[in-house]
Order: sequence, then C-alpha cells, then structure tokens
Amino acid sequence: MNRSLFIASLSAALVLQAGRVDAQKPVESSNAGQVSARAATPTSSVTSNTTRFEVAGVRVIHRKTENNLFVANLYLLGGTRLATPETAGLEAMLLDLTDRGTQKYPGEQLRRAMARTGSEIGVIPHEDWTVFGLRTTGERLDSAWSIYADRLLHPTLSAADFAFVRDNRVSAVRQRVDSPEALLEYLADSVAFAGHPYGLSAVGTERSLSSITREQVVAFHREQLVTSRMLLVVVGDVTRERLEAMVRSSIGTLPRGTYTWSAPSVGETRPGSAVHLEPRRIPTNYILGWWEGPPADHPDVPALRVASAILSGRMFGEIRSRRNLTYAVEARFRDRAITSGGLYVSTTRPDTTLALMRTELRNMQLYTIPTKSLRPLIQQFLTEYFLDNETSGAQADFLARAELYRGDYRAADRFVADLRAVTGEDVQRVARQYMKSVRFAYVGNPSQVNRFRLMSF
Amino acid sequence: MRVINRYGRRLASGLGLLIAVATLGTPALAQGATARATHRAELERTIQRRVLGNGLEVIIAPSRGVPIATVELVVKNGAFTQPPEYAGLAHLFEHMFFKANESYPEPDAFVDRAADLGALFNATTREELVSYYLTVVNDSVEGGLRFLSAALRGAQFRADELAREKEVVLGEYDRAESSPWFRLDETIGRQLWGSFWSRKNTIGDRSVIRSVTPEQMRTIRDLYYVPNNSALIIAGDVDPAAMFALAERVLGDWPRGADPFARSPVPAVPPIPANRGIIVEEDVNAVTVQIQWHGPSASRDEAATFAADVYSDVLNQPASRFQEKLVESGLWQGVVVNYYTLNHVGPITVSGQTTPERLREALVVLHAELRATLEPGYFKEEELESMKANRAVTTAFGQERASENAHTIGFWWSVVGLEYHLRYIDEMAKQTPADLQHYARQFIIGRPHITGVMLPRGATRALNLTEAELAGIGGAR
Repeated sequence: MNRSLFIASLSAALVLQAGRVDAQKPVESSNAGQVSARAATPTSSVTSNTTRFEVAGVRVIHRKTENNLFVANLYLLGGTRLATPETAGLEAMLLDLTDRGTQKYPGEQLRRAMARTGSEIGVIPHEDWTVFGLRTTGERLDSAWSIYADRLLHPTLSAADFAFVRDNRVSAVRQRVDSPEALLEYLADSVAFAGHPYGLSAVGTERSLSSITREQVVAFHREQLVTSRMLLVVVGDVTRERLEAMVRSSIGTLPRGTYTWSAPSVGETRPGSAVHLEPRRIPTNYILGWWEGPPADHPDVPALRVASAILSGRMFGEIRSRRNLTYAVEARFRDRAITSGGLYVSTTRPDTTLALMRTELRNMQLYTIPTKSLRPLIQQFLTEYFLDNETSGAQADFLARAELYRGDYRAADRFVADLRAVTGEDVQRVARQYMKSVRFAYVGNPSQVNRFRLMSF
Repeated sequence: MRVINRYGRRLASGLGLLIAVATLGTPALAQGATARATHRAELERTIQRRVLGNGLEVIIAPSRGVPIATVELVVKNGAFTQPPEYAGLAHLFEHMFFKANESYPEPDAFVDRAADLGALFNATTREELVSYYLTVVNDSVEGGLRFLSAALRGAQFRADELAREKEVVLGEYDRAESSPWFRLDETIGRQLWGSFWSRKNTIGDRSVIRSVTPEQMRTIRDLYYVPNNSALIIAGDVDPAAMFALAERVLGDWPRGADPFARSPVPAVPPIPANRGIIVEEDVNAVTVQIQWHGPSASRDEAATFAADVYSDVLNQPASRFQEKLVESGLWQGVVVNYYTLNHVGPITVSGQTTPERLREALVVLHAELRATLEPGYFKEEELESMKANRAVTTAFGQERASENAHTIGFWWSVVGLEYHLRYIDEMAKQTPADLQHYARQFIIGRPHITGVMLPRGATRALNLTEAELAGIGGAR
C-alpha cells in the first residue's frame, strides 16, 4: 500500500507535468478581463535555494529545503532510445531485480532492512529515462541511502531472482490488454510512433520481456550504469557537503562512460495519418490519437500547451456539456523530449463525436482567438503550476525536465512567463502547424466507426 | 464528477500497479490508511475548527508551501443514503451541482466563472460522502467560496440540463462497465451487501439514472444539503482567522435544516448468510481473486478499525511472512489485504492474481496463511516497528500536499468524524499482536465471506471449477 502511493505520487508528477488541463472550458468568456488585474505572478520559485554541480562525474541538481524530507530522483537517461523491440523493458526489469538482493543486503535481508527504514524506493520507466527514486526523512537518510546505493552498485542479480522477476513482469504486461483503457494507451503509442523510440513500451512487451536473458541484464548493468547517463535531482533537508560526500562514495564510483544526452529525432517515421482498430465487446468505444509536436525546447511549445488546453475546453463544452455524447473528452499535451498532443474520447457514437472533434480542431485552425481571452486560461495554468509543485517529488521532476528538455533547470521559472507571452495568433499558427496527421487507436466496436473519419484529422 | 471505486482497485502486482498508474492516473484516497496519518499533537497545532451557528463545521488546515488554497465542501451524502429507487442519484446530483444556478443562470456561466477565477475544480462521490472542491491562487479564496456557495444554495435542476447530464453519467457508467472488473465487483457486491446493496453502489443503477426527475434532485438537496450535515475545509496558504470570518460571511446565513438521518435513517447492514463462491469469465489473461468479509463499522467498533489497518499493513509488507508464503513462493503474482474504513460496515478485501493452474492451491494456501495469523508469535515486534517507521515517513510526505490534505480531512470528517483522524496515528502505534489477532478472529477467520474469481473465458470448464467448490475453500460456514 505504501509502495503504491509512492509510485502513484511519482507518476502523478509525470502526468501532471504533461500539462493536461481537465474539464477546461472555452476561454472566450464574457468576463475574461476580470482576472487581468489580479496578482498572477509566482511568489515562490521552484528554483529557489537550488544549485547544480557535478560530483565524480554525476550531474546533480540540489534544492535545499528545511522540512526534514529527502527525495532523490536518479534519472537514467536514454529511455526507449537504448532499447530495441527485443529489449524493451530491460532497464526497468534490472532495477526491479535489484530489489531481490545486493552484496551488502543479500536476499530477504534487503527487504527487511528497507522495511526498518520506513522509506520507499521506486522505479518509473519513461520513454526518455528511467527514474530510480528514493523517499525518506532526515533521520533515516543514512540507512535508506545505503540500501538505495547498494541496489545500484552491487545488485546480486541471481538466476533464480531473475526468473522470478521476469515471470512476474511478463505476467503483468500480459494483463495490460485486460483493461481497454490501458490497451488503448499502449496501442496509441505503438501506432503514432511506429518505428520511433517512442513507439516502444518503456515497460516492455510480453515478447521482449520473455526473450530477455539474465546475461543481457548483467551486461546492461555493467555497461549502462555509467555516470554520464545520470542526472541526480535531490530535494531535501541535506547540506551540499553531505550530499556530495554521499554521491562521491556511492554512485560516483561507477564508471564515467561516454553517454551524451540528446533529444530523439523528429518526424522521420511519420508519413501521415494512420488507424488501428482493436475489436472489443464493451459498452463503449475508446479512441486516442496523437500528433507530433516540436522538440521540448522549441519556442512554439508554450503556445502548443495553450492551444491544447483551449481545444480541450472547446471539445468538453461542445461534446460533453452541450451534446452529451461522452463523459470523457480531452485534448492532451505530452511533455517529452519531442512533444506531442493527443485527442481522446470514449463514446457510444464515435462517428458523430469524431466529426464534432474535427470541427473544433478546424475552428482552432481557421479562426484567431483574441489574446485577451487567453487570460483566464493562463490563470488556471498558474494554479496548476503551483498545484503541481506542492511536493518535493514534483519539484524534483519539474527541475529535471527543465534541465533535460530546456537545457537549464532555471528554465522552470520561465514556465508561467512563457505562457503569458502566448498570443491568439500563436495559438492559431501552432494549431495549423502541428495538430494534423493524427494517428489513432480505437478499442471497441469497429462497425460503429467510419475508418476514414479517423483518417481525416 | 467522478465515482471512486468501491474497494479501491486491486493492485496486487507491482508491475501491474506501475502500468496502471503510469497510464491511467493516480489512485485515490481509497487506498486506505496511509495517506491520512499524522500525530495528534502536530495536527492540532495546524488544524483549526469551528462550528458556525447554523451547524456548518469549518476546518482550516494552513500550510506554507505554495501560494494556493483548496476549498472543499463535504456533505454526508453518497451511496449510503440511497434506497434502491435512488441508486446512483447521489452521484448524478453531484454532476448537477455544476449546472445553472440562481447566480449563474445560463448553462455555461457557472463554469465560465470558474475559469475566471483560475480555479481547477472537481467533485467526488463515494459511499459515505460527496465532496466538491476547487483550488485557486490564495488571493481568490473568497471568489472560490462564493462560487461554491452559489451552486450549493441556488441550484435549479433544470429539466433540460438534467436530461442532458444523465446521458453524461450514463457515459461514465459505460466506461465503468467496460472494465473487466466491473462485473466481478458488482456480482460480489450484491452478495456481500444483500438488501443494503444500493447503499454501497455509488455508480448506481442504469434504470434509476435513466428515469431521474428534477424532483428527486430537490429531495436530495432538501434532505442532505444542509449546513448541519456539511463541512467546509480550506487547506493551503491561508490565514485561519480570515478564513473563519469569510466562512461566516458567505455561509453563515445558510439555513439550518432538520437532521437528515432522523428523517431518513440508514438501515442496518444485513449479515452475510453463508459463504458464497462467484465465478465470472471475461476477456482477460490473468485470474483475479477477490475475497471479501464484513469488517468493522468505524463509530461502533473503532478499536477494530485501527487493528484492521495495522493487520493489513503488516501482511502487505514485502518482507512479511504472508508475502513470503504467497508471492515469493510463486503461487500468487501479488496479494493485497485491505480494510476500507466506513461507518456502515467497511469491507475487508483480500485480492490477488494468479494463474488458472495455480488457482486451487493458491486459495488453499492463502486461507491457511490467514488462519496462521492467529498463531502465537505470528506478528513480530520488528514488523510493528517497521510499520511505525513507514507511517512516519508517509505522514511526513502526505503533509506536503495541502490539496490532498483537504480531501483526507473531508473523508474522515464525513465517515467517522475529525476526532478519529486526529487520533489515528497514536492509536495505530498502540496496536499489539494480540489486538491484530483479536481483529482477525472477530472479522476474518471462520467468518462468512464471498469468494469471487474472474477467469479467462473457457477456464471455468477447463478447470472444472464450481462456485460451490469456491465457497468451500477456506473452511467454516
């Protein structure tokens, strides 16, 4: 239960940082100007008390706090770019396997020692990296860090443990198809990013996980656990000196390696629209399509976030509130090294609903929204920005994304200012430029949808 | 706008969990004990409460993290107030809250106002509460509270809006029903709760939702939406004195109503007459098992609720003997024990996943291990100490999120009262192995239960499994 909450909080950070604004209304409100005079400037900064330095080859971002909490997120860079269809999910499997024992804490001793600390270690695979995270408090830091570091440096990786973990992961991934929502998410990525690293599942597939061998895992640990592939973000009540010593004597002893972080390529494998229909006997139909955006550091990204939120609000207003064709409809924005946006709906009348979604998208592309009417939306982004940064874990993730996607953790502070600078013309332009060639996955009754409708986006 | 799972989702497999949260979002409060805890003394330093003249309880939980505040209105409504002819209408009412009202008479005006405030808002219906909440930058708290107040006191329940919104709720029902777990949950629920089923069934009944009338909405409002059945919680970067004054200004003249539970008492939950087995087949790959018992009711058997949470926490520890015997042995891919605290009988659930070929042995060993929890020395002091350490860490992290803190306080206020929440951690720390065993003897071992199994299509026949056999595994009754 505790573990689940920990992982959930990590994932929540990832999801929230993707910039989704749920239940958003269209912004052309008659009262739009009312908020303009209100203070809407962040009064606290996610980068305050934050420094960046290198320790024994490990890049570290440290946000010093005074609340007795300690969060360490180690970003192992590369994500699915390091994988092939045959090895997808290997890194997450390796990190899970380290929970089965280490040199200092063999077998069961590790789990017991970890339980005594009351702390939590979690693994979150992602297309751009894998997070190996630690949550603890000041008085437990030494003991928890000792386990955390030993799992990275000296895992046992025994054959029996490998078989146990692999079987469990294969079984779990097989169950992904049991839930129509989870299946949809998986299929949509596979279709939208076919041939691109983002088309690979970071947790792997039944096929990949079944074929991965212990020897591959051991080799990956030996060759890929290198400091050049690491970004450590620490938010916590610890001095820099102590943190440096902790890193130097543990992660810093790993080989340097030659990894260089860079964004994956854009658009090489995307010839246009595509559709995958997955028949399922269920009461409704789930639809999700993705379009590809620019790299995360591109100046169009703030406008794309705003455009996605506006489209989300318009679809919600028209399709849910006025037409009542769905419970859930939204436009998504996904914050990865190469950004993307999505159109999502569940409905029993897919043809009608898709036609309305298409109309809303076209209207975004055809008509310019007055810039002043964007203000309420920006205010909601501001609220969301603060909400997203309530926790140490979320702050760590925000800093990491700024550092990796925008080249400098201090770019996190520009988030709101960049959104404020977006104009109605910007929104129209990016809607035209990026919101096209949508590649859809559909889970439900294929006879209820015209395939060409899905191809028309 | 959303219904929370009756029992929280089964998340028995670590990877299964990981996939679930990575793709579907964050599991909510129903996870159980861990999100709500803190030491009483520390809580009392921060949480302030006052009851207005009209009976509205106002709870302020200030924190100085980021300059936002969450304003939450909690009403003791929800599934438990639903006779069969109202099954699902507490939730539909919650949807109608965001429709036209006297202050914002046009359908879109209400939501437009939320946008103007920069508010992120939502609502939740659960078994024993309905909550409405919004988060705003802290200089907009007054606007946010007036926004909620307008909906609370001026809802119109226009027939045209109700007719449209019920279609949205039916769409939510379609989604719930699309989950392979829906039928398992529902079939078990009907057996577990008998005539009380409509009072546990938050999503409700399709036919009831379809035939809803504005009059039914008004009945719910008049009965339950009164200040003496509600609480206002404001959590975040706020000044308590200013918030109490604001609450008085905005909601102090909300007229007190009759006690809803004197007018419409909640009947007793009927006992489970006998062990039952349930088999459902779906298009799934894994075998899911869900075994449920009637657990304690929070205000009637408070001590047992604390023991229940510690019992669950210890068995769920990766290093526990329970996990060793069941999961490390390879019989189960994962097993989770949970008690869901409610005032009208909270369910105890053991859920897990296994394979068709291991199912029988997995069930036999599971029940044997549950019985073993009564043996002397089963619960070790070290395990209880580990749980304390874990709660200390979890509590410290839980306090970071003021917005979640509002939901946590709201949940406990509605289900069993704020006092329970304040004492929770201290009471948990007092639990002894004897307390845990007393709880297990009182509610689990040899007690009637429902065993539900969800199998891949065709597996029932291939295994030659019957519901009678399932009911018999686990012994007595």
